[in-house]
Amino acid sequence: MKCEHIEQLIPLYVGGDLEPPEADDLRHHLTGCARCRQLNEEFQTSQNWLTGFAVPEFDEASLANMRASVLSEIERQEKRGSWIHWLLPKWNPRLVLAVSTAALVAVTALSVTVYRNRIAPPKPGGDLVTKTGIPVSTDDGQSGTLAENRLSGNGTSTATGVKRRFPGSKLSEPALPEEALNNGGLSFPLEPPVTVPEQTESETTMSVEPEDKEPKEMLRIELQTADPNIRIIWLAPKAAPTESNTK
Amino acid sequence: MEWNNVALMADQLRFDDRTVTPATEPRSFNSPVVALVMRARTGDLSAFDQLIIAHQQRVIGIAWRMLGNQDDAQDAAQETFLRVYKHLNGFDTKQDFSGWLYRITVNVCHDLARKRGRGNPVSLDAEREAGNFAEPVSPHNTESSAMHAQERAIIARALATLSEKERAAIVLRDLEGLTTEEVAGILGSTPTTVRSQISSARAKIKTFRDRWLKRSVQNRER
Repeated sequence: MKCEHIEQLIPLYVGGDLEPPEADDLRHHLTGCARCRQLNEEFQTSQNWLTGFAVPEFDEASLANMRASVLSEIERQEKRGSWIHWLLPKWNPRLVLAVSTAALVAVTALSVTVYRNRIAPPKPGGDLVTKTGIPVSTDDGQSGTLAENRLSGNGTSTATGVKRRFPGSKLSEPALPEEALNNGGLSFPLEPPVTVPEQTESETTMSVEPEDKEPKEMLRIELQTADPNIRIIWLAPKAAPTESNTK
Repeated sequence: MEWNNVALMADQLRFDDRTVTPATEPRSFNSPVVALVMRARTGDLSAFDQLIIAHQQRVIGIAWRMLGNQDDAQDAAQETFLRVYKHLNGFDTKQDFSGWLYRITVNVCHDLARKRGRGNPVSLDAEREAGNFAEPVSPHNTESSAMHAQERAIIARALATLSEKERAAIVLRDLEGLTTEEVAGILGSTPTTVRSQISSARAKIKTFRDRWLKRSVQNRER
């Protein structure tokens, strides 16, 4: 064994923490090495000094005081617990958590319902109110929801949307997507607003007065969104009857 | 409550508590402790009081060595017994109660040390003023008592230079006389790690003591 290795083992040796074979080797080394023997003695002295570290005797009064504090604290905590048990005999923290969570969810749902009803009150009059809360009014004076119209034969429905039949003709306007009616109008696939380019006077005249000089019938559809301040209005010229439609 | 019986049982427990056997072996001395634990679990505070009486000196001693002053040691002991009562239902009666108790004590001491900041300046005068050392009873032992008190203060300072884990390991191994395996069990470590911590701690304490002796000699020469 080398001295460097012995120096590392001496701290364990003085406390009896070496395995017997290692301790024997170390003792053998110490008989022939004065320097390591000196180091071992120093560690032994330090170890004796440390193990002589007696704890001061704590007087009985302070120990009794400590015990009394512990017991009174326990009693205080148990009293608090028993008060809760008296108030709620079948006190179960999990049950309480579940009930309070359910109550919170119910209150939140109720609040949301009340809030929605307040901001979107039903509108009496000519507006048509769909089942999704989208009031629709047309220029032909018909009333009722789109769904009602479909059922009563005022309009025809297709798989992709609702077609309204125009008065006095068998033409139909472009389909209104069904999903727009079912999602409350909030995520209605709105087409981007049409920006009317600045037109010259002649162009305007041409658009207002078509070649056939007949007043063009316009279809007006109004959709009332959940926000009372926002109303979507469609104005579209009625399409000319085609052969397929007239047939 | 028959206090004679309590004292008798406390003495028995205190004696048994000092017996050091591997934690894995069944401990016959656990039975009176287990009986007290079972009673305390049902809310019998007198049984828990007996448990405290049986272990208070040991707990407060470990806390004093870990923290370096009596006030903190008493606070730690108080908190330790409160935690013991709180978690009494979680104690496995097949385990060694003392080991479980010491683990809680060490944890409480670590928490308290962190709460109050690391350095524990141990001043002999401050300790004396606080009444932490037994005052000499007669003029004959005045000198020896003062020397003991000084020694204690110096050793407490030496322990304060160690890391938390080293201090816990050296206190339990060298000052409480537990085996390396028991210390490892209490600290949730391995015997190899504990040996390494003990070796390092003994070397640091020797260095501290050498410096202190050197300084004392220099002061005397002046």
